[in-house]
Amino acid sequence: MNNIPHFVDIASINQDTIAYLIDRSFFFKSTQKTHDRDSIAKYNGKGLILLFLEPSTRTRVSFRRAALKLAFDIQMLDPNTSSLIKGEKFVENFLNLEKLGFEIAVVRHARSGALHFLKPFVTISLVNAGDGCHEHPSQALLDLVTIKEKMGNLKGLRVGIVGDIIRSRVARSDIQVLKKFGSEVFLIGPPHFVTKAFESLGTNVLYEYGDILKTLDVVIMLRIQTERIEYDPLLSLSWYRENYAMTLERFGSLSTHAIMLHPGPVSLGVEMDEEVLHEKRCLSYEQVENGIYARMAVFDWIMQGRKNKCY
Amino acid sequence: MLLIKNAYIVDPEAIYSGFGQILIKDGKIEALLKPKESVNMNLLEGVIDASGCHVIPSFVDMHAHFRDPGYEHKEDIESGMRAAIAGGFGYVCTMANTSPVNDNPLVTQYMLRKANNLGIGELIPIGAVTINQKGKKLCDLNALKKAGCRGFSDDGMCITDSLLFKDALSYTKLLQTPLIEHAEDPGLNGFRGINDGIMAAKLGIEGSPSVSEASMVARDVEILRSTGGILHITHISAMESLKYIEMAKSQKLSISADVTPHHLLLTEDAVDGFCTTAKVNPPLRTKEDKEALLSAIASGIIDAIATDHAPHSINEKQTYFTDAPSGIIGLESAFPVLYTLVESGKLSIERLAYVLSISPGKIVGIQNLGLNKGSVGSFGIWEIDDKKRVLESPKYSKSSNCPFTGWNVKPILKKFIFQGRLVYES
Repeated sequence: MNNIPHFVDIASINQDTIAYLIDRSFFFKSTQKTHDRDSIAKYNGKGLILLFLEPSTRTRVSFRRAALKLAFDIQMLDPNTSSLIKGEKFVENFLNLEKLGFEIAVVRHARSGALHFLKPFVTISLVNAGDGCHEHPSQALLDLVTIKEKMGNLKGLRVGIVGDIIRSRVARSDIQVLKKFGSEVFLIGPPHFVTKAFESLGTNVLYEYGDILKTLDVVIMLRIQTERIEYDPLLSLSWYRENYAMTLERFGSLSTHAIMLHPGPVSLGVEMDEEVLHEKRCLSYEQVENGIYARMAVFDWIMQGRKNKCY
Repeated sequence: MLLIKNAYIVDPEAIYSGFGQILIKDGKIEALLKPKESVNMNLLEGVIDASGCHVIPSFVDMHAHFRDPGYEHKEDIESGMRAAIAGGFGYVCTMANTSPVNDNPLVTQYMLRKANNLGIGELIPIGAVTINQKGKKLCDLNALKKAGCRGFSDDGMCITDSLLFKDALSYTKLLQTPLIEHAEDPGLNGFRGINDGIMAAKLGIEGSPSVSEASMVARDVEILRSTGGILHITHISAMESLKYIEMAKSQKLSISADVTPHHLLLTEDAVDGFCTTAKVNPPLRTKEDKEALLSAIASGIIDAIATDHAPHSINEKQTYFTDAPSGIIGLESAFPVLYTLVESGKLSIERLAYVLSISPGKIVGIQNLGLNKGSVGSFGIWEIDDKKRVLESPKYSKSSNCPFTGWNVKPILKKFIFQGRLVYES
């Protein structure tokens, strides 16, 4: 079952494939702009299931919109009313989904590595919509699409990721994808949120901004993942804000060409001021839009990989 | 009498290693003979030709889990003992985290009876320190010792209550029995089974840092200094722990330590891709830790190699990384994989044999293991030549959670003699 196309982590996808996915994202975006939608609605009736075992709004809706645009037959499974939850029945339930004719399963799971555990057992193609604190590869793809759209080139870009890195699956995917394309990555946050171990992933770890902001081309702000924090090590939110938040003043110190991203949801007044969110160079709404095309590109790539194969 | 001829004899105390013959009578070594020395064939009941083989004293595993009573689907005393002798271990200390816990003489007696009925090796029960290993109240350590326990340990449940630890340690002096400590401050840990390093950062799992172990070793040493007692720190994994042990030894405190084969041979990289087979507690750490542990084994800061043989069924290991139990099995693979350290010149075969046999034997009270006149006749006959073989999945253990399966190794155990009797033949 090794040759089944999955999209479960950035770590195992090579740079050429990601470059292809970026191009395809731009292609799908262009077809929307030119109203050439019919030409891409080509997976009529192919089964795709969305299985979100953790709360999600924008990611779930985005995946669904992407699937709709490609005319998949979409099923959404509600973990609250379905027997398919977790534990020892997890694998068996995916085998059932295969027999029900689904070809792609988009899965969000609370456990890091849940999809890696599944992969050897299934012939359904898995798309990771976030597994624990591990990875969120489609978010990294749409971040890359958004950055490339504005900056043109990724090589040599200086990118700062700020906030709760240790619990962020977005940060882990972003770090790996940016490193693949030759960007320089700076991780900024208090030591409770980013450890020196991250330097072994090829990043620079900073516990305060110092003079770094004005040298960055891209800043990715992250929210504090309060739902994953059992013991809160922060002195106070005002202390955090004072030292790490993207205030209007800090935003002003960025280089004029620099852009800012946030994967959402934004905790306004904590990691970012509301005024900053509405700045032109803050691209969080563009990220939401590009998310649909990036996910279309992922589905399309998987279906191309499955073409003419019998599983 | 039994004669082992054409053997290459490995003497862990490095007095004499070389070719020779071993004569065994009444379960003991009657004489060591020169290669060509003649023997009265009429007196012999059997002859084993050990051409091409090393004869190495029986290993003593200070730390194994046989899961019996209570979790026999993972391992039981028979499968565990058979795995042990297939790996050259005639003596195995079994930890107390069975169900029920070995915190009273009835459980100890059950273990000993079952192992003795097999008659292929010696099981050495390690009693719990606290009742049900809950860290609240001391067991009757005296009763456990009388029943046959030769060490006390709550193993995975480190005794975080310092007063209780101090009290337990003071009894070890009176009972002349070591307390075997799994040093770990759980308050400093994220998930157990993965180092808080590069893989934790990559895989998105908060790991267990070295400081969790080292800070507890530091506490233990200070309490040992003030109380006295016999302390053994088991499965050291972090280089930071070593300086405390070295200091305690230099101050003549009664302390010893062991390390596992997996901490000597693997790093945290082994858990990449969420590999649950390599999930173990304490976790596999960095290359620097691995090298420091190896130096400590060579220099004597660490006294012994113990497997921490921890069987888990495939179903238990085949789940999400964070949910899978920690543990690696090692009885059958230990010597073949450790021999790679001899091949690369990092350890002499005598030192390796010493830390697997004589040294742990001394700590738990197994004497006369060397290959000398009058010693117990327990040893393995290992074929070691230039051929490398692929290490197969463990044959005798009920579990297969061994990350070394598939390694290319040289030694293969041909025969195992326990107290003068042939108990294993490949």
